[in-house]
Amino acid sequence: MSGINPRIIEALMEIDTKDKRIIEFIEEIIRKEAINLETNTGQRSSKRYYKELIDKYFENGSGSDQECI
Amino acid sequence: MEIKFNINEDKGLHIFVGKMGTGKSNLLNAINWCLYGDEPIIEGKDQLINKSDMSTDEQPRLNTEKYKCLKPGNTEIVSVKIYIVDGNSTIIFQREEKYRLVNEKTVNVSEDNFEVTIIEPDTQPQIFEEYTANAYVEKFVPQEIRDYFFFDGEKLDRYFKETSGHMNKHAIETISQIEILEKSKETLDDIFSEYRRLTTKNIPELKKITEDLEAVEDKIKKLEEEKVLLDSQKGTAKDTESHYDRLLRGVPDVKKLSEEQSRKEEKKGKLKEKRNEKEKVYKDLLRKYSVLIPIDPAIQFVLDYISSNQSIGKFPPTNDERLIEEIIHKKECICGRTVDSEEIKILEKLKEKISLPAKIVAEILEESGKLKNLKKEIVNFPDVMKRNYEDIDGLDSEIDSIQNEIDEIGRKIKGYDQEQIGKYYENRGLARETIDRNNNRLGQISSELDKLKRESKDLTEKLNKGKNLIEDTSTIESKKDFVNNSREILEKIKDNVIVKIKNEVEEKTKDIFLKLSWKKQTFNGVKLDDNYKLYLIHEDGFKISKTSSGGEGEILALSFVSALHEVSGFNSTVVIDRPITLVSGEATLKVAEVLTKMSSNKQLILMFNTDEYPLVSTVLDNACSDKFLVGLTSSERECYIQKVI
Repeated sequence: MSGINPRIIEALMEIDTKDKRIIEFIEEIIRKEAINLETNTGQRSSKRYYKELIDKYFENGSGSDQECI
Repeated sequence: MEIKFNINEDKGLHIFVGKMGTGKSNLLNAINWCLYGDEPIIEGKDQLINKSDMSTDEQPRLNTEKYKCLKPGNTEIVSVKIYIVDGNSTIIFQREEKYRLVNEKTVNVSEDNFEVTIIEPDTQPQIFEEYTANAYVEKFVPQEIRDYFFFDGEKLDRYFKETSGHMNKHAIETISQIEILEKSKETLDDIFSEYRRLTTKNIPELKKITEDLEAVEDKIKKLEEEKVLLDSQKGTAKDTESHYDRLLRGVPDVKKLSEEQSRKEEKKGKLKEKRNEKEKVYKDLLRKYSVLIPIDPAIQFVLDYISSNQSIGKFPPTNDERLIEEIIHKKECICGRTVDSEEIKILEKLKEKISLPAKIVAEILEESGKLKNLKKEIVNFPDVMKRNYEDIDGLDSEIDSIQNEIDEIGRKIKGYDQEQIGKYYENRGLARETIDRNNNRLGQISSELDKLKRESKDLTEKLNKGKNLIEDTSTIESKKDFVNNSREILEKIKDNVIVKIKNEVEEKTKDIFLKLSWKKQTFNGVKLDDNYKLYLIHEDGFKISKTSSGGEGEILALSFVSALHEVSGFNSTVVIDRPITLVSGEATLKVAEVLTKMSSNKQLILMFNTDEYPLVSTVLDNACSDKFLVGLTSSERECYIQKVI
């Protein structure tokens, strides 16, 4: 078996939130962690990756027009 | 040595049969060593036993033949290769290590070398080494749940026990990939703290609150980590305690009993000393009375004589014989008056009347006190002797009773290896100490956490109030909220996934159990409770945590293992050493039938002792795809494996 347990993705999709960026973001970061675990990559690279993703979501301002959960 | 299994789509059952000590368990160890680099089953000590218990002077993995014949300068290699055929692909797991003779001791001269090779048609073989190879094994069967794939048959009853709950929970968390969610959450926590620092760094009051909050959160994190560690240690200690409980079932605490026996021997010695002293007193009294009793009539006579003379006024005498004699002799009274002849006659008559001299009477009267005492002692003799006799008799009974207790202890501990059993009791005691110590600390942690969480809540409220006063809501603040929301969602996902997988495993276990069990009428369900303890549900609705024959327990455990495999997707071969060791009677054949059924969609490798196999051979001989006999060569230094079916 490799990758992410489909039940995690299922549970993620069941989350009721209007800010779809969060769902997308979480999916990205758990995929990253799954790869990290397989390749024994450290947390430092995760943190950089997460922050890059967040920066992308907010590069055009605060992004506060999207409602969060 | 190469063991090649018949690959048959309908039959995936492979049997090994051999006497105790011929090396069947080595096969299980070889698989574990090849995949994970350790051997969980070492001569009755499984991984439940603390590694620190084991001798540091470990025997090399080399077989005895190679080990004895190793020459200086030569190198011997221990190597295990496992070939797995998966569709068109072949996966080869290979681990090896080298041994040499150094200073007359055989030592391992290399770190073990582990690699995984994947061979697929029309492509170059892919070779994984070091951590990539280990990562591949984790995808094959994660080390954390290998106990549900490669195990000793005795462990099958573990799934029924309360202490196994944490193992089951851990297995479910592992297959749920909770680790991925936890790692994500950990990184988000870090980023959240960073954003929070950034949003408050220019406002000194808020900066201070943020620092305090971070300090509190840091403490909470550390305590929660400690809690997880303590819970895990407690779980392992419970397993260890349960393992030794099983080993010591019906076995007396020989060391304790032996100490008790010594204490009783010591007490017996003291009682014997006391008894001997009493006996000496008794004999001395006997000697004394053997002299006194014969003269009792004489004593009585003298006492009667004195008494009668006293009663008639003879004793003490009123006339002094010597004075009368002196007056007669001197013919002069004590007042100086001359005594005449008439008076002399009277005095002589008076002298004749005196039957005992005054001196003798005085002596008799003087001795009468002693005689009375002797008489008293003679009168009391029967009582004194009776009391002494009763004391000795009482001590004899006490000594006999202690001797019986000593003999009883002797019978109880006869034939047991005191040192080994003592060690088992000691280890069980240590496990209990760990459980109690950890419970104690967990209680403290729980109250510390409550306090810190309250503090954290207060500080967060303060911080938010402070920030509301700042008009400029920065992008960082929005990012921080985004991260915080993501953290909360991750927590939700984690809880949902665990519940989903737990329910799925429970449902699947129930389906498989009802399909495999021969007691479909008696049991109509399976429950994995909140503590992940596994139960059978009786047709009347009550939970059954233990069964008498072991048969149902074994089937439930096998069903649970199969369910875990199906739900996790880790559908590796199952290897069971001595699968029928816990069942008896008609359940033995039923379990064999169940194993046969299981093998129709899962490859099973089973190892049996020579004396166990005949009980199931009628079922398994026909069902297996191959059967091997395991034995030792005549030198007893190497084992051989011979294919018979």
